[in-house]
Parts: sequence; structure tokens; C-alpha cells
Amino acid sequence: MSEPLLKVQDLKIHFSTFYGVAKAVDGISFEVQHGEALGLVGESGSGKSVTGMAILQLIQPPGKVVAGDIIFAGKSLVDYSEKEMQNVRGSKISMIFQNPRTCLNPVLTLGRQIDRVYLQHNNVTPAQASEHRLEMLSRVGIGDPIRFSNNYPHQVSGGMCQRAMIVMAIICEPQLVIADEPTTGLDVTIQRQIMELLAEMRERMNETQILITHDLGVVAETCHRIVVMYASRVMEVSPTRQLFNEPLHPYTIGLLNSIPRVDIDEQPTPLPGYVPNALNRPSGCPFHPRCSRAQERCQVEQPELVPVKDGRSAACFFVEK
Amino acid sequence: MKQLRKWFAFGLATVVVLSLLLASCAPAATEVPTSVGPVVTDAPVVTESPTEPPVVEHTLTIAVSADIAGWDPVTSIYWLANEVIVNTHDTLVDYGPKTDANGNPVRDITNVVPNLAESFTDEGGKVFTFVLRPNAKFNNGDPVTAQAVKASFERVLSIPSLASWLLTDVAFVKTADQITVVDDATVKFTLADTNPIFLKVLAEMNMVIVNVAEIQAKGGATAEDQQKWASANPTGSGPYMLEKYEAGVELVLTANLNYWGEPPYYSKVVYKIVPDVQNRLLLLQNGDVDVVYEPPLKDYETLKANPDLSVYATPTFGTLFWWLPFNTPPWDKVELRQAIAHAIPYETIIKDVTYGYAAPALSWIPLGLEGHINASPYNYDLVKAAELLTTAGYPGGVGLPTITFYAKQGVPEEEQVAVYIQAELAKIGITMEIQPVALAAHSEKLASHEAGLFAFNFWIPYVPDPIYSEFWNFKFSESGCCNYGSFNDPSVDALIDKGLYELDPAIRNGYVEEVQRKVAAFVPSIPIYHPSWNVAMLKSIMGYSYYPDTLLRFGQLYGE
Amino acid sequence: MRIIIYTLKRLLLLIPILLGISIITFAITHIIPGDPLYILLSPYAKEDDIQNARVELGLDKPLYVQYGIYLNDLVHGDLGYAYRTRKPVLDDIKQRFPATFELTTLSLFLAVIVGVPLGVQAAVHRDTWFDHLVRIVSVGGVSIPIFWTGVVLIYILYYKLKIAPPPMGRMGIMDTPPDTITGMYIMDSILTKNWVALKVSLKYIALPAITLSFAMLAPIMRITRNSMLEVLNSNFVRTARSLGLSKRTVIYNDALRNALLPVVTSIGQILGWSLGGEVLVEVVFSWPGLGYYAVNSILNTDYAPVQGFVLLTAMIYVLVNLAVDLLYTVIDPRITY
Repeated sequence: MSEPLLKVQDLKIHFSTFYGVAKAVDGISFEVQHGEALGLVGESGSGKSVTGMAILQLIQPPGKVVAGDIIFAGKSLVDYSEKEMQNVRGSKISMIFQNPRTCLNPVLTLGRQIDRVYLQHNNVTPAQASEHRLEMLSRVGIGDPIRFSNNYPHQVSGGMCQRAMIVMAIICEPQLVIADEPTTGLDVTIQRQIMELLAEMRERMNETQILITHDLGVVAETCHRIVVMYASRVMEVSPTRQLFNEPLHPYTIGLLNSIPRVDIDEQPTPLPGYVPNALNRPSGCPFHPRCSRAQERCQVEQPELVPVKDGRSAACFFVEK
Repeated sequence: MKQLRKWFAFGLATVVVLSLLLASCAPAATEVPTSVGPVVTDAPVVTESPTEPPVVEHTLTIAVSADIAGWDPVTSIYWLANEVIVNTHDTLVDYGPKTDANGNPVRDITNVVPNLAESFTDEGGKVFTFVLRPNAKFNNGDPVTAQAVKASFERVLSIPSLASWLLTDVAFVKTADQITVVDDATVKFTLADTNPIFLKVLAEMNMVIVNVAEIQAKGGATAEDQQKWASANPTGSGPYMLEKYEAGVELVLTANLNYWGEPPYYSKVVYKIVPDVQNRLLLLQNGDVDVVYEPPLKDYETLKANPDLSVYATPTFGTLFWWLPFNTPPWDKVELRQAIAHAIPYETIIKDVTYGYAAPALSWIPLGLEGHINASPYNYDLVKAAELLTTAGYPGGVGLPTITFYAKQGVPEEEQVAVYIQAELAKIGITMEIQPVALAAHSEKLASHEAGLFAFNFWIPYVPDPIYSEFWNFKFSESGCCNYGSFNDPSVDALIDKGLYELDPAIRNGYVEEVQRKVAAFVPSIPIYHPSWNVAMLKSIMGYSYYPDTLLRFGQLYGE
Repeated sequence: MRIIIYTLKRLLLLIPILLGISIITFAITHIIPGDPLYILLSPYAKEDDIQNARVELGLDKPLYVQYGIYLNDLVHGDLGYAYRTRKPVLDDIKQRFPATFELTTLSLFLAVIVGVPLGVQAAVHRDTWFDHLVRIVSVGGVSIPIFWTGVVLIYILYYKLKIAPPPMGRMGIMDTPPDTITGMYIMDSILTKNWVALKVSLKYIALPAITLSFAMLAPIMRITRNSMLEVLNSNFVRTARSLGLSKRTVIYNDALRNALLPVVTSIGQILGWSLGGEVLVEVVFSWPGLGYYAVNSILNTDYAPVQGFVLLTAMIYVLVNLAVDLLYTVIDPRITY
């Protein structure tokens, strides 16, 4: 196996707040291979979005990366200066966010917002940037790119905003695109189009993608592999098919049972209890208060994420090796 | 398209701002002199005549607190305007110089000397003849003739004012017939009765000679328009002319090259309006201005210690009077007014409020005027005050209404004095509340002799004469100047009337003394103190002399 | 265009506003105690003369008749006659307005070019020593009386160090002002290429403008900082950063442009509010502006200038707010009228 594009190693991110230190990410590790689509799945508050921001080194105070390493194309991003990171962001790694309308600058035209990304990272004239932009807009399915470019975000639909943001994210042909809940805040019909567009772009532009979502249904269709996060930690890493067919971790199992399925005629059973507060994580395995298989050991000892089989790993004492 | 809209809106915003600006400013560029609006800058500028050899320019700069325009000598009320009037006009006669007992350069009020009149004769105190200077010219070039002088006095008579009453009731020039033109250079006044102070009245600033012909030619058709024009355009024959007046900024006088006397050393006098008093002092100390009037008394010692400055504090004939209601119960009881007079801490006030730069008021006529006696029996004596309250039937002040004292806004000393009085009155059981009122409201209360009025009036006799003072202050009058308590005693009125025409100084002084004694018994008003007039100027300026009207004559000043 | 109609509507609205204000000022100035005739004639005038003058000037007529006459004059551009200066009020205003306008705009300009960047930096470096320093300056600007600032600046810079020119207005006694075009010395100096006058007028306006701008600075800084803090936390700023745009671009192009709206609103208000400070600055620096003129007129119970001043101020206030509203559409494309 070749060197992975991205390696996250034992990453810890803490937020110091008035009430104490919140461990938003508490020692997670995973890898992303070239050309792969990786799903980062978890309930809200599990630390998946923070992980995405950490890859771009965009954790804002009071948050802080306290330990761990992020290695991108063989280089540690943690050691990069702010200046060097600026050259990585948007150019080599970029990110797509949820609620696209709020993520675009309301006072600049869409065209200008796209152009300035391209101009920032490429030594081209504004005319060249404009030409490139029109081409890219056509590619993402915008009918009248010139008119579209002259619009302000409030003048187009949410789906159109997301397309504009996707163009901004991929216009410099980055190696890695992180999409953080890219369909949240969009109409259901549009959601599908956007997901298809992302998949299409990945293939056509030879991208690697990380898809951050709480929706297992979304990743099932688009991702090669899935990282399941719970309460700031990784619970399980599996290729998509195996994960759905044979979930290893009790949390994954609970998660799968909680979603309605068309293929099996069964009522979904929601997971009992709540995701614990980030300020006050349970001792031992963070899932043990909600876990049906939990034993005394789970309350004291924290299970490590360990390889199980077929390139899968899980963090549970009761998963068979 | 969108871009266009944006620029359009921006342009519109700019247009709104600019139009606002232009609407207010653009016409200012083309300021057309109109006949209705008085145009001050229209004054003839003789100094710029190319044939004249350039004289060495000396500029005198004076920092003053505020300005009020109005240079018509008949209606002028504001001291700064009065100063402009005395420097741009001439009186027929003037006072000679002398040095007072403290070494201050002052005017000798017993010595009336010729001024615009080259000479004068006094026949029996009733007929006065004035011979005008042959070279005297108004500052527009017209000669000052006997006809012009007569017209000037006729104008005073025709405008009801303090000046016209002065002429008719004090100087006994009741009608224009009494002024006769003997020849072009000689004018004769035949008074209705003998008058010992006629010449002093003519030396007063209201009696300066104006160029009536010019006022009528330029002032417009109606008397009202002419009066408006005259109040903006001085037309005298004095050593200076008004060159420029920018309200609230500066006022510039330039030397009148047509002047009959010695050309003044200072070819330019600039009044600069500097509202802040501390700034005026800083400007003087840094030498950026030459003269500052009435520096704050608390800074006086500092200024005196400055080797670059001359500081003059000259005693005046001015009096701060506290007017009490003479007719309004319960204050019509004389014992109550006497009690109040005994409750005033005269010495403390002079020490704390005026920092010692005032003389104690021993009478209603100040020391230095003829006939002054120490008439006031009222010293600061709270025991006596309390006794008088009891005599009046208000022991301990019980049953007396609260006194409302009206303090003029913007005159801090008067308010301070009121505070001292308030504290003492409280000790004998009389409550007084101090209510600040604006200048105009204060004037109205005084002039209408409002019932029950308690208020200060600062009185300075522009004619330094005791009967003159008594005439305005103690002769009965229901309104106007300056018997603000409507004090009414027929025997006092009779004494004043006799004094107005009595030529014998001894008899006249007897009247003056009698009036003081009577007023002292009635206490219609209480003299608080006689302030000094204070001027600070650069040491290099010489020739300063104090006039009884306190106004500076710039023609007398010169540099080292 | 809709925006033209909107502007016209707003301008039309000026008429009832000015009418209302004229009624109010007329009523107030004629009801407050203090008969101006005692100023006009003399405090020593006799009752008969006061009565005569009252009839002559029409002051004996019922108030509504007097108001009718006043309004008629007003419509014909006659703001009345100022007894204190013996000039038509309009002439006085024309003469003084440029001085006030020049001082206010320059002060506002200074306050904005200093206050906005400081506010931005305080927000960016939130809770650092810099932010605290800005807060102290801001509290100072609000709580230190403008009069005091002026006096201290004069004492140190003029009296002690002799760097600043004397606080004697717009120019020294010996200086010649530029030819009048707008009445604003700086503008006129530039327009007539009179560089000597430009230098002198800049020298004289510096201290008053700094004094006034110090008071204006505080609200501008505070509002910029707070508005920036809000915008810096917004999603689109995060997007801009995630796309590798430089910090400068993110702060000034993304954040500031969006944070500007409340700042511009506040500038409209500051202009109205600064009038009070303006009067004090004019007094301290002997600046021959409208504020001091109005105050002096009030003190001397000179009606007409006060009314003219209030009308002009109201008009400016309305126009400035209109300009601000129009500026909104430039700053924020979401706002349309």
C-alpha cells in the first residue's frame, strides 16, 4: 500500500471554557488514501467537524490542538506557519460547509468570491480567472454562468449557493476536499443533486474527499470507507460495505439499528440515552453508559482503536480479533 | 448592471451631501451688498490709496469675550460697541489727563477740555458756544460743520432712548430750537435752565457727533432703515474707522487718515473674539494678543508678577447695587430692608469674591464724586439685623416669604455675592433662593420694575457726577432706568431736581448729601461694593489712561 | 429607478418636518421669558418706548399671525434679522456654516480613519493588551469632557511647547484667508491653489479637529469592535479563511465590509450628537462656527438666529440620514428601497 494522502495521528483538541476544558477531540487517528472518499460519521458534538477544521489548521481560540499530528502528503501541517497554511488552504486542501447561504459573503458577487480564490493561489490575470470561473460554473451545471456570477448570494437559491461554494473549493484543483455536511440546510431534491455533483467532481478531477456527516445513508452511497466517531473518539473504521453488513462496534450497531431501512422490514430502534457533554466525558469507554454490552472494565479502562481484520479496526474490548 | 446601481446610489448620496453644502455656501461667494442688509465692509478704505506713502504699521490686538454689534451712539448698549463708538467718533469736549493718588493714569473729571470743538465758552452756565476745528472731517471726508453738529443732536432728540432723556432731562436741551448755528464753525446751545454738568454730558459717549447727512444718504428711505444702517455703519470723525466686522470672529479698526488730531501710533486695532477666558490669558502671556480686559481676579497676582505685562486696576465710580422691593409687602416695611442691609458680609465679599479689588461701599455715591459722605450706617451686624426683624414684627424671620433672587446668567461674581448673602440671611431666619435667568429676561425684570424684585444692577455713571447718579437711581420712575425698586420720595425728587440746575457747588453738594442721608434711611437699594476696572496689557504699550466710562481710547496708546 | 423615487419621497418628507420644527421653535422662542426688545432697545428703556417698538415690529400681533409672517418670509428665503450682529440671519449662517462644516467633516474623517482600524484591530486581537488599551482610550473619549481635552491640548501644545498656533479661530491676524468659493478654507485653498493659506488653515484647524475627533472616536471604535467581533465569528469569514485568503483580505474585505453597516449608522447619529461637542470646541478654540453663534443668540434672546439654526440643523440631520440610508445600498446589496 502506498503512502496515504492524509494521516491524522492521536489528535487531541481542547477548548478551554469558563466551565472547564472541553475535550472536543480526544486522541483520534485515521488515514485517507489517494483518490479515496472517506466518510466521517457521528452524532452532533462527536468532534467530527472540529477534526475537519483541524486538518486546515483553523481551530480558533479558545480551541487548541494540544497533541497529535496531521501529516498531509508526507509533511506535518502542525509545523506549518500561518503563511504556509494559507498556501495549503483552498489550493491543496479545501472545505465545503453546511448552510451554504450563510457561508458566502453577502456583500460580494458570487463571481468575485470565486475569482479571488483563484487569483490568490494562481499567478493569473483577472481576465483569465474570470474565464476559468465561467468554465467551472458550466461544469457544475450552471446554465447562465455570466448572469450567475453577477448575482449576490441572497439573489440565488441555497442549492445554487452550494454550487458556488463547491466551485470555490475545487477551482484550484485541490488534492483533498473536506465536505462538512454539505447538504444540510438544502431541499431534499437538491441534496441528492449536490451529492451527485460531489461524486462526479471527485472522479473527474481525481480528488480525495472526506465527507463529514451524521447521516449514514449519505455515506453509504458515496464513500469507500467510514470512520465512526463518538464523543470525541473514533469507535470504528471500516470499508463501507463491511460496515453495513457486519458492524463491529456496539455503537455502530446501535447507529445502524436507529435508521429506517427499506431492505429489512423492521422498526428502527433508537439508541437509548444522550451523547455525553464534552466537558464531562464518562471515564473508560465513552460509550459505556449507553452500551448494552458494557461491563465493569468498560467504566475504568479506555479501549484503544485496534486493527481487527480486513483492514478494519474498532475500539471495543469485546470485538473479536 | 448591479455595479451601476451601486455607483448610482453612491453618487446620489454624494449629491445629497454636496447640494447641502453648495446650497448653503455658494451664494456666500458672491455677497452682493444690499441696501436692506447693513454691509459693514463698505466703509471707505482710505489706507489703501496708492498715493499715500506706506506708514509703518503697528497693530494692537485685543482679545475680548464676545461681541454685540450696534454702533449707533444713540442706541448702543454694549460696552464693546461703546468702545468702538468712542474711537470712531468724537465728543465736542473731553477730560484732561492726571494721575490719581495711587499713581494710576486717569482722567481729571474736574477739567473739561476742548476736543472736536477747538474752544468753548460758558455764559452763566446756561449758554454754551462751541467753535469747531476748521480741519475736522468725518471719516468719509465731509467737513464737520456747525450744521452737522446740530443735526447730530437733533437726531439724538428724535430717537427715544437713554441718550435722548439724558439730553432733555439732565442737560436741559429739550428741543432742537435750543441749538443754533451761529456760522459754519460755531454752534450755540441755549439751555432751558442753568446747568452745572452740561459740559460733562457732552463728554459722554452717547453725545458723539455722527454724520447725519451720510446716514440719510445711505441708510434708505425710512427712519427705521436708517437706524438699522447707522447701527452697522459708524459715521464719526474719530481717530479710527471701522474697517471690517465679522461677527463672532473679529472687528478691525484702521487709523482715519482724515483725522484732525495727531495720527494714532497704532494704525490698526483688531478685536479678536476669544470666548474662553483662560485662553485670553494664555494668548496675552504668549504675546499673541496685546490687551485683555477684566482678567479673572483670581489670576491677578500671577499676571502682576509677569515682567512682560502691565496690569492696571483702577478704582471706578461703579457700584454694585442690590435693589429691594420698595412697595411690595411685606418688604415695604423699612425695618426689613434695614435688617437685610445689616446682614450682608461686606468685607468678606470684597475679600473672597473680588480678591480685594473693590472698594467698600460707604454710601450710595462713591468716594471721589463731589458730595460723597459716609452715609451708610449699615455694617455687617447680625444682632442688629435680628433686632430690626423683631421691630418689624417678624422675630426670627418667622412669617416672611422666601426671597427669590434673580441672578444674571454669565456673571459669576454676582452669583457668588448672592450666595454669600444667602448664607447670612439664613442665619437671621430669612430664606432666599437664587434663580438664574438669561440676560434678556433679567433686563426685562429690571426695566419693567417687576413687583417684589430682588436683583443686582451694576451702575457706572458715564457722566461722573453725583446728581446725575441720583437722578437715574433715586428719582421716582415706574419703569426704565434705574430706580428698579420704584423708590418714591417727593422730597428726594425735589432735591435732585434742584441739584440739576444749581450752579453753586456748596449748595449742590448739600443736596447731594441730603439725598444720600434720605436714601440711607429708606434703603431702596443696598450698595455692595465699588469694583475696580482691570486691564492687562503687554508692557511695551504705553499711554494708557482710565476714563470714567472705562472705555479705552486707542489714539492715546503708543509702543516703545 | 426606484431609488430616485425613494430619494424624492424622503426629500418631500423634509417639508412637513421643517414645518413642524418651525412651529415648535417659533412657539418655544416666543414663550420663554425675556423680551428681546429689552436687548434691542436697551435694558434701560422705558415702558412706552418698548410698547412703541413692539407695535412697529409687529410683536403685538397674535402669535399665529406672527408665525404666518415668519413662514411667509421663510418661504421667500428670509430667515429674519439678527439683532445681535445687525445682519440678516441668512448672511450670518452662510458665513459660519462653512467653518462648522469644515471642522465637523475633518474631525469625523479623522475619527473614522483612526477609529475604524483601531476598532478592527481590537476585535482581531480580542482580549489582548491592545484591546484593553483601545477600550481605555474609548472610555476616555466618552468620559473626558471635550472642553478639558481642548484646554489641555492648548496649554501643552500652544502655551508651553509653542508648537500649535494660538487658539484664535481659523487663521492668525496677519494671515490672509483664501478667496471665497465654498467658504471652507481648506477646500478654497486647494481650489485656488493657495498653498500658503492651505498650510495656515491646516495648522489652525488641527487642534480643534483632533479635540472633536477624540470625542467622536470612542463610539466609532466601540461600534466597529463589537460589530467586527460578531462578523468575525460568522460562517462566511470561516469560509474565506478556509480558502486560503490572506488575513488582510479576510479582515478588511470580508469582515469589515459586513461590519460597516452599524458603523455608518452610528456616524449619522454622531453627526447629530456632535453638535454639543462642537459648541464647546468652538468656544475653546474661538472657532467662528454656527454652534457658538446659536448659543450666543440664545443667551441674548435673539429669536431669529436660533430658529434659523434649528431649521438648518434639522435639515442637515435629515439629509445626513438620507445619505446614510443611500450609502447602505452601496455597502450592502441586500438593502434596496
